[in-house]
Amino acid sequence: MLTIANHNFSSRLFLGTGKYASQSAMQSSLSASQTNMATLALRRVDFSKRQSDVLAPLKALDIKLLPNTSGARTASEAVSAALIARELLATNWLKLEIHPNPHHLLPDPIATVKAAEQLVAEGFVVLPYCSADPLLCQTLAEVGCAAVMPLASPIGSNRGISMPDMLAYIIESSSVPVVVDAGLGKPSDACLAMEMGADAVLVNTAIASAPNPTGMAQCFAQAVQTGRQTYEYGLASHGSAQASSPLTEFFNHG
Amino acid sequence: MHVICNGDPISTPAPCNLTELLEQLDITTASIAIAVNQTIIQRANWSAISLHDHDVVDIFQATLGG
Repeated sequence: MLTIANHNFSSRLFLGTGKYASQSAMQSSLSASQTNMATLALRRVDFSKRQSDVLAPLKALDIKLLPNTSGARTASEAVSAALIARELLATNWLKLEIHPNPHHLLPDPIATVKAAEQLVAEGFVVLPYCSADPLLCQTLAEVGCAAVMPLASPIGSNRGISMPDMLAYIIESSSVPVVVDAGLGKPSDACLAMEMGADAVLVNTAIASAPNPTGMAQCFAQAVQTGRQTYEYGLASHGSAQASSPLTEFFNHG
Repeated sequence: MHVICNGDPISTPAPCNLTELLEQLDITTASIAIAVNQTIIQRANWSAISLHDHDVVDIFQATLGG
């Protein structure tokens, strides 16, 4: 059982809700994934368009909602977004993300630490999206973040785990749960992250953009479960070539 | 009276509170949050907050995202 900030999660797969072709596809995928938590974003109401309430179908799934600060380019914008999210969704849980450059969408580490400090002081349960930097993750844990969310690779890239060594350092040294976020492109990427000892993964694009999102959500769920079990059972050690069958002199090579 | 609402100028009768502004804008969803001049106004206070000329009102909603 995964626990973050005294909240228990039976599933170690978290989902984003963006990029789905339809709301029903999103709902079906969330159900198929058996996730306990999904992310949401904020936006200004567009008066020119018919308003749709995305909350009702999500609340019907009885999962925890994790608002993010996507769109924030500075620490102060992220703090403002967090306060709005708390008012809007009545939750103090927050996925803190600050990416000032729309080209690569990489998180700003300095602004993230600064905002995290403020938000923790305001009583938020902060889960920061961050670079796969062990020292940064340590700092974020030290300022009171409930978990860290290092990226596997850039958001939406589906490139998988680009820096496995850095991720391994984070996992082995983190004092808070590690949720691998962003860039996991296929179930085997998620399985690998879990085999390495990640506490959970967050997936959006790889499921939402798949030809069959519901089926892909099931595949990710199975991969995460298998990866976690593999981690718990423990992998056999690496080494030089060793026969796995007895080397008898059956052929009598003389 | 004129206020800036989500970046656009809007004419409202004076006096006008936030609840009345939402009615004017035909915003019916309950799932919104409002800031006036960058200060978030709790839902319970919407009717008590009177708008002033040139106030900047931002109305937010949740949307799908990763």
